[in-house]
Amino acid sequence: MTVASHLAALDGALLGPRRIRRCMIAEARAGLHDAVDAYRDGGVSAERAEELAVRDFGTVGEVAPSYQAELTARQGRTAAVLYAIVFPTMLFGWDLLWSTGAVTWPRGPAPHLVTALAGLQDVVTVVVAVAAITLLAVTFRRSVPPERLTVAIGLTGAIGAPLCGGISIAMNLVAARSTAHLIMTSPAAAAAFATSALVLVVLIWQSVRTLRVARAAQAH
Amino acid sequence: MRPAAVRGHLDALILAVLEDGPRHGYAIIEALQARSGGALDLPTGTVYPALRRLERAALLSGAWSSVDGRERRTYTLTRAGKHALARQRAEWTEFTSVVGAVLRPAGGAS
Repeated sequence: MTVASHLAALDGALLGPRRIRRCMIAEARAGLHDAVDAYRDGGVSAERAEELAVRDFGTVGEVAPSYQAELTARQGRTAAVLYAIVFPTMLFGWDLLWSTGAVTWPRGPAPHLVTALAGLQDVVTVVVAVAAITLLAVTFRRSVPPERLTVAIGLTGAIGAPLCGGISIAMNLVAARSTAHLIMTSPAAAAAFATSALVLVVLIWQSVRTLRVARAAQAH
Repeated sequence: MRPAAVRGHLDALILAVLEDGPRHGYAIIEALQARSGGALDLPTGTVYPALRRLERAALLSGAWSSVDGRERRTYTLTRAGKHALARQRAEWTEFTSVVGAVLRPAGGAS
């Protein structure tokens, strides 16, 4: 087996952030080429040197679990950073829009149900943000197994994002005419709604991905 | 030595090998084998993820650089890494002295 085909097989067995995965494979390639050179310096043929270097490296079954554990930990940390930034930003962003008057309620005071949902939204967002920041801090502890931590981080997003999104949608359905009016008349409000929807999609996508990567680690 | 027995101590062994200066992945593997007299028989492919794990824990810092015309990732022990190494060394010394004292054949000493 050649270095290239062995690394391709390893790469194929891994799931996780592409940038770090490529970086780790590139590092393994450099190391394997060093090992091939060392064998060749010892008088072994090029073909045999590759075989021996690949044998020393270990089979995909032997090394993939450690690679996947690392990728899973990185995916977890990336997702935790994303949640720790995005959830508080969404909370303060919308507060800023309302408090500065950039977005205002079209006709009179907001209905009670909308106010109540907005309050619930704030509470849920704060809880999710605190959970994300706590889990992010835990990723710096070496003693915590990355697979379970990444599952916890993925679940935080997988529950938090649809919950916040659902509350927002409910809030806007309750006052559908006001929302429609806001979007039609205020470019700032339209931009804020579009950004929020996009952020929600990114959050859900990232959460699903994080849970998939965590599951890949458990499968190894 | 059995790979399973080594795995639990791999982090400490890597930190020890980097104590006298930065090294890249393959040089770390060579140093591990040389210092163990060739008795450390673990798949070399498990060393690279261990380096990343130690880097993530801020015990090592890693950076790509060109060595002998080849791109390699070089690792340096951080201040936290030096502390971790000192701690693990002390723990290991204590562990071996305690377990050694118990395992020593009874009746051998007067």
